[in-house]
Amino acid sequence: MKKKVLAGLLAAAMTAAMLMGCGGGDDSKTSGSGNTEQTPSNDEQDAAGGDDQAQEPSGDTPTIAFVPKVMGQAWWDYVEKNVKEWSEENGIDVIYKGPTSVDAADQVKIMTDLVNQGVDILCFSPNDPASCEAICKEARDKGIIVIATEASGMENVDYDVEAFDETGLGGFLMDQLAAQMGEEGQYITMVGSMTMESQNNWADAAVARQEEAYPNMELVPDKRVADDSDAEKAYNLTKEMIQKYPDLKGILGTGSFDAPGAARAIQELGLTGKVFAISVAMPLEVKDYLQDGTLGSVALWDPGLSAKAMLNLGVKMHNGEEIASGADLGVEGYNAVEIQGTVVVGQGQIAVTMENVDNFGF
Amino acid sequence: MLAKVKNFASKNNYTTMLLSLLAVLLLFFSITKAGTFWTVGTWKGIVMQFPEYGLMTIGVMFCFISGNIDMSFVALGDFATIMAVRYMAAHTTEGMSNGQMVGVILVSLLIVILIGALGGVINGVLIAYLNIPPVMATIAMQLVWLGLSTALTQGYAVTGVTPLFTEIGHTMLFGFLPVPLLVFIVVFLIAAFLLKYTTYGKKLYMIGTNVKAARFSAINTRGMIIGTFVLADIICCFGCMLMVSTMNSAKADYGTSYVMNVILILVLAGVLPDGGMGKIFNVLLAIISIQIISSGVNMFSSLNPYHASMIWGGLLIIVLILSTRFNGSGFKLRKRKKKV
Repeated sequence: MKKKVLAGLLAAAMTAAMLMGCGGGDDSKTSGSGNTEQTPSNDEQDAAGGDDQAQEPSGDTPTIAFVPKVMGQAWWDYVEKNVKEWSEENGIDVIYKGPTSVDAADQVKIMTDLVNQGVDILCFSPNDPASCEAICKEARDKGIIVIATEASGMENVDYDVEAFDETGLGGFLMDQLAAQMGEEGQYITMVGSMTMESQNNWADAAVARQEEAYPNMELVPDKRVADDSDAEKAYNLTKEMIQKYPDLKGILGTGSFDAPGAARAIQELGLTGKVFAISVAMPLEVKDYLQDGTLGSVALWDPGLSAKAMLNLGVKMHNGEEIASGADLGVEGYNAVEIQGTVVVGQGQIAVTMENVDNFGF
Repeated sequence: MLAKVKNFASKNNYTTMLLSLLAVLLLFFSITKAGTFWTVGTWKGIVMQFPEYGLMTIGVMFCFISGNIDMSFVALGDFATIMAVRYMAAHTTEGMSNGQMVGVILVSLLIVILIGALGGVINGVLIAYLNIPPVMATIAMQLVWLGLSTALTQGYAVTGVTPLFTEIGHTMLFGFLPVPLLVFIVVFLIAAFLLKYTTYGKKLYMIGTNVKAARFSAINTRGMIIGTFVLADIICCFGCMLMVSTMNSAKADYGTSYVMNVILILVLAGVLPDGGMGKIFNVLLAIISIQIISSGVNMFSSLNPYHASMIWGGLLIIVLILSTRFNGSGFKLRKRKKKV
């Protein structure tokens, strides 16, 4: 009989040991990773330094939580690194915590815990915006500042920070492509599908930009092709279009499959330097093409800078500063944001080139 | 007094272990996070969160006791709630009176019950009549429900939940009792009553212990298994309905991580899928312990949910090791030894 009581106690003791071990182990991990992690060469960091200092809160340090879509994924690891950097620069702790799998329910539970345990500022990127409305409402009712990203359309947020709007990105894609094409020649636009609203709006904005700024460029009669968000199809379409329009010089893609597919076709046909392509794309997927010069650049936004802008916005609101169009969030691309309702739009689009392709880890 | 405690401990191995675990957890968080842990907010967070999967755990507990397992309950619940929310969205209009909204909510609950029952019947028939192993049958059904929901919704969340429903889900009765917790308490009491004081409960344990012997004792084992799955899946679907009130929407893959959580909690509580054993009170202790660990871990800014699952996994192993030491309620290995 004694044995069983003993067994119970033993179990309890082991649990305690585990809890302790866990807490201790994690601390060392955090400090360890801080030292070993290489910091990307971030010029924008230095540029933003001055503004950050101005925001150092006087006495009243807010408790901030940042909830990513998921932990342990390259994209979000990069965000975490940037959040930690921000935290050190500003001397404000940020609780960075998200679900271990892309599960909206798990994410909401974490937000529920954070809201109930009491934070001043809650930044997050929802897996599913609809699922976060209820907890965000509760948070706002408690006076918590709620800032989202990639969540346009959410009601119960103070602000939703977006890196760019449709016109901004469309124009940017066109500017990049035009520079590579020498601002002259035929081009065509490519989207994932004709029904994808945002991609088609980007393409429309790009064409509008060309008509306004690059008179020597010409949209071919086919105007727009759709690759079903499939790099293989983008590859075939590019070959087809190059055959149909021998003078085709540019492919203005939008979705992340467009440029990789088009680049493969350009490379295979030996047209590197004669035909150019661009789209939004993940850096590591196009690294080879950037290195051999098939692609000059692809477009993206820097999720780390966007996270810093969110944090700065939260601190500004916490300090009672007025947020209006033209506000400076202290990060490159967010120095003069535009406020559209509850959406904060930056000019956060960046060109990923040979030079910075390795900075992200995704 | 000490003798009494010892006597209790020897008769209730799992209860003793879970109580010790709970005590350690409370002590640990009291010491390390005194300021945050004992606040109304933290405990509100705890009691608001566990009813969702707590209900599912109670549901699946019935399957476990009967010697079966259900892997399909979250997918089924998601499908049922998607249909319910679609109904809500179609029948909720701007400026509806509360009475009308209650009507819509009641019909949508009926939809959830019917779909839950249907899912239970299918699981039960596959297992009891077609003799498909429970794990396989219910994993197959999980895929079927997930596929159906995804096809119906294209993977998007279904919104348009009747506002009153979400409101009720966030209401504190008498200022301290959240409605989801009340639902959990009611279901818990009913389940406890069923297991302890009805012949259904006794038969369930018998089937779980030895299904052949139960059949020869003139128990309609097939009917019992189908009925048990119907009961279990309806309770699970209610759990998913609580999830709808938290998330204000339904989606094909909400709460997929609950499947493993629920199984973990049940094993932790000594309710093994071998069947015929387990006490509902221990299940309650295990649910609360698991939620305290997860909320507790969220209090440390440097700890991640990874650490919570690490602790859960470690606990599971400890429990499994200990359960071989608990005779009576332990693994069959031990029982066999005793017979020799």
